[in-house]
Amino acid sequence: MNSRGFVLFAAALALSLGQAAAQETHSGPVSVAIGLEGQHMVVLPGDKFEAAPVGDKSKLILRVQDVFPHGNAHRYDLRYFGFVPGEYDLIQFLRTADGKTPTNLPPVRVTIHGILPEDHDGMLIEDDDSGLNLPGSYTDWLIGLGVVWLLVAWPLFFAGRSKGQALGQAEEDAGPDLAERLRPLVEQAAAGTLDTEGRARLERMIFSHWREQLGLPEQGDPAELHRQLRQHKDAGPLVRGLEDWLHRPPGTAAVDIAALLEPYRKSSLPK
Amino acid sequence: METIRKNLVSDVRQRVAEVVVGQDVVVERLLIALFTGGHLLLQGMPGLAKTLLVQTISKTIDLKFSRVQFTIDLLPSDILGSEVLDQRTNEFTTHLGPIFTNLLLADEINRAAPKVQSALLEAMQERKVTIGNETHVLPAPFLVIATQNPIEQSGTFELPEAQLDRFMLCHRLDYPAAGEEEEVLRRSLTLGLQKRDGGAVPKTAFDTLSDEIVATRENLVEMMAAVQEVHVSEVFQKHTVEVVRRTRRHPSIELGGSPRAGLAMIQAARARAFIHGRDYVVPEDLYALAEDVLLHRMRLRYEALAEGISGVSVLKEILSEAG
Repeated sequence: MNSRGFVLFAAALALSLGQAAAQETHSGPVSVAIGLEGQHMVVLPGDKFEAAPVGDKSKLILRVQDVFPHGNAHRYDLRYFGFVPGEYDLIQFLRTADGKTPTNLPPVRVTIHGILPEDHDGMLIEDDDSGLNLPGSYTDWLIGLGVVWLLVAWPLFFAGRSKGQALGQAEEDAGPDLAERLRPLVEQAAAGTLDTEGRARLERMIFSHWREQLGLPEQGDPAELHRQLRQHKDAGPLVRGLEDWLHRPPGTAAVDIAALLEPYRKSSLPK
Repeated sequence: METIRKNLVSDVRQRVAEVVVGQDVVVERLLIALFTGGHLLLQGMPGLAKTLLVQTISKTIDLKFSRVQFTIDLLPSDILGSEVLDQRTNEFTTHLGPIFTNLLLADEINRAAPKVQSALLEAMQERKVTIGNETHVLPAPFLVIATQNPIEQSGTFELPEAQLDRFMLCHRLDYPAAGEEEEVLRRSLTLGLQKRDGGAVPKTAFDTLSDEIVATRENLVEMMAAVQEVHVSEVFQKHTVEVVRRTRRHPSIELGGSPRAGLAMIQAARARAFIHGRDYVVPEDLYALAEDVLLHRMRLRYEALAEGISGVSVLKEILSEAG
């Protein structure tokens, strides 16, 4: 073989090897279901390619997982998944470094197939007609139920509330007020028959009565409230008199308790 | 007796007023503690002159005074004392701690470890201390005034309820009024320097304390005896029991006042009546002392705390309820 013959033989061998390399991993179109990722290893001659940018309307997405040197070519690990069934050429989803679609390369075909049978009518859930078939729409029924609730439940609610109020009022009316609770204690004190427990209750109730009468705050300083009561022109004499009667050592204070409590024996308490 | 009482109360108030502005109520509480021998816990923010107040009181009466700054590494033996080996005789001798005094200021009591707090509180209750195999009775009178800061909780050990109960009173100090605070500043301007050893340091209020006493220990004992003579009516006792029992029944309270709370109330009310020149207690004494006697003995329920209910408001509600 002369030198010219050797060059022709080498060129033919290189071309046949390149073709063989490009085709060795895609001897037939690979089929992958929609939404599943497919993989394809392929050796492509020339510079290194990149994946094409993905657009809103892309039917298939390709990414280059890895690239390995392969002599003067590169071995590509391509990963893809499709959105629309059909046959695609992965070469069309590659770009050269300057953003152009590669030319003069054999197609690398893959197939994306659907999950549903081809004759499927597109209904994913069968419509079950066995439910309750009521006249009117769902909205109509909701409005109707709301009206029923207003007509029935609302009056019931008000009836219960006014009944509760009436009960509370009745209980309030039935219980003795401060004057009624105070009067027997005052009577017993005037008669000198009130025991220690009763005296303590009497003093606390008198404080309570005057605190309410004078509008003194319940959350105020109790000692200060007490000082104010002791100095008040109406409450003062009674509070100080009670103190003398109840707290001084026996025999050191002469208090006419009957006269002191006389205003509290009437049906209405002094104001 | 009446003259001594008036002199002591007014002299103590005057002496305190010379160095501390305001705080009349806390002076009254300190006197109540002195006259009843009950222990007092002062709770307040830093800088409210808690320590200065106690030191001032201690210097007005002829009492032995000790101060212990409680810290995390304090040991019970640092307060109570310990047995020390005498190398000359090769025998153990007892070294009594600072607790052997009449008036002990336990500064920042919640900074010490629980075992130290327990050791102190045990001595407060029993008024005696055991070191080694020997039991030592504490001097009479013996009174502990402890302070604690309610906000700095990091690195502190909160006193448990059983130990808080040992304190007859827990008084919460509040910030002074604006006018009082201005007076504090005005006084500080005239303190000047204290020169010593060829140098000088700025004077503090502690340097202005007079060492002159206004009452002897005997005077104090006489007044303690007089307080025990103050009449407590049966009705007042009923009021006290009623209030304490209501703290146990209130729906917002998990732990109410113990029977010791009632005892503390009666004693404190007697001393307050005595300070106010009465030989009998009145309900005003109960109302005035309720917060200091009862609040630290009450523990609110979690639900009440979550609703923002305070112990003070619950106590006021209890006191305002009619019989």
